[in-house]
Amino acid sequence: MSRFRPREEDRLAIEACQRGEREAFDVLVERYQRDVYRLCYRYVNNHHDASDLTQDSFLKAYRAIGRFRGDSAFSTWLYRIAVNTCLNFRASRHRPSEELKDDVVDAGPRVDDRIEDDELSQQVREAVSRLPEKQRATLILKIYNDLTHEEVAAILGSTVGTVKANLFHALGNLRKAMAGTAPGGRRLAPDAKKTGES
Amino acid sequence: MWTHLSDDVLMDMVEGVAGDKAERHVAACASCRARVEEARTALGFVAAATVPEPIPSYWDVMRRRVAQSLVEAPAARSRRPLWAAAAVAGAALFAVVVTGPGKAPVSPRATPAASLPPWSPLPPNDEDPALPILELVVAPTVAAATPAAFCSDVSECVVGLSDEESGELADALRAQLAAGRTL
Repeated sequence: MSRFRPREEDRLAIEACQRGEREAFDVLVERYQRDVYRLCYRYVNNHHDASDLTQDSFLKAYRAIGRFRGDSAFSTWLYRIAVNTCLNFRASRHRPSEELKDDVVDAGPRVDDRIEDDELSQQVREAVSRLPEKQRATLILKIYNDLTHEEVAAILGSTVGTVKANLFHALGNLRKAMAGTAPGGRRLAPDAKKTGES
Repeated sequence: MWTHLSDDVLMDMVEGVAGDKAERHVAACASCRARVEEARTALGFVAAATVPEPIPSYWDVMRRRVAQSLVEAPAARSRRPLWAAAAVAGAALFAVVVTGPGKAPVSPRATPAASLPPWSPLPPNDEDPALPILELVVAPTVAAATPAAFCSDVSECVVGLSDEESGELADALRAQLAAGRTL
């Protein structure tokens, strides 16, 4: 359980916040704003909404920090708030039909033989943002926020086995959504694609 | 009987932490091996998908935005015990007794209701029998009856309560009313 103990600097800042010292929260914002922003960006895939959601997540965390008891790492607790904020945002903006189903469709033939890195990034981010909710949340938290399976399970209120299974499904769906594209950005030749999809 | 590996075990294979038994199965099973390879390929895509980094000064802007939003937010504080909420409620009732109903409007329709924060769990004015007490609590005439140990100003104390604290206060006030206290 020692890994769940908040870092000493976090603990001091959290206790100061709980005493009503608003300025202490700035330490936590400074430390975690990049991670929270990137997490939010993975959900909404644009800077403007990610920025608003980051601010909203920190505001909610501040309002609730009096109830933080250190049962989990502060980052885990904060990510959970951010994930819920993103889910609420998406629920208010998107219809479920926009998501990929488990039997995800092929992305279709590509026009360009070579895809620039930023184009590939954009393509992957869009594919990630279209994954079913739990698969997307699992993939973002595990791969991009580098959390353990146990931490992801704690955030999503799930089991480690389910987290692993969801992650495996997410990767499978992502691979299908990116069919025809090699990880390096090159379009796969037809026979190479066939091999990858066997 | 030949059974394929479950998805969580296949994920262990992708991460290279599966046991020997699983590895032997994957080596012998084309279907499971293909699924593992597919997932490993997808990991390559995932690694390529970076988030565009904002300009460096953006993070200072974000910190200022958060700090500004905190100024407008209710203060963070540890959850206050129920006895504190009860004490505030008691102070409110005491104020009613000391000042008397004639010194302050008691009808919820006689005077505009105290401005409650939008996050308050309290019901609307016309449904909440405790609201008249809250109106008296925030009236300047009762400030002197506030226990200094809890708040220097009752109205500030009440308005600054969190959702849970507001709920506790409302419950305490209703309990007082249910016990036969009248305005």
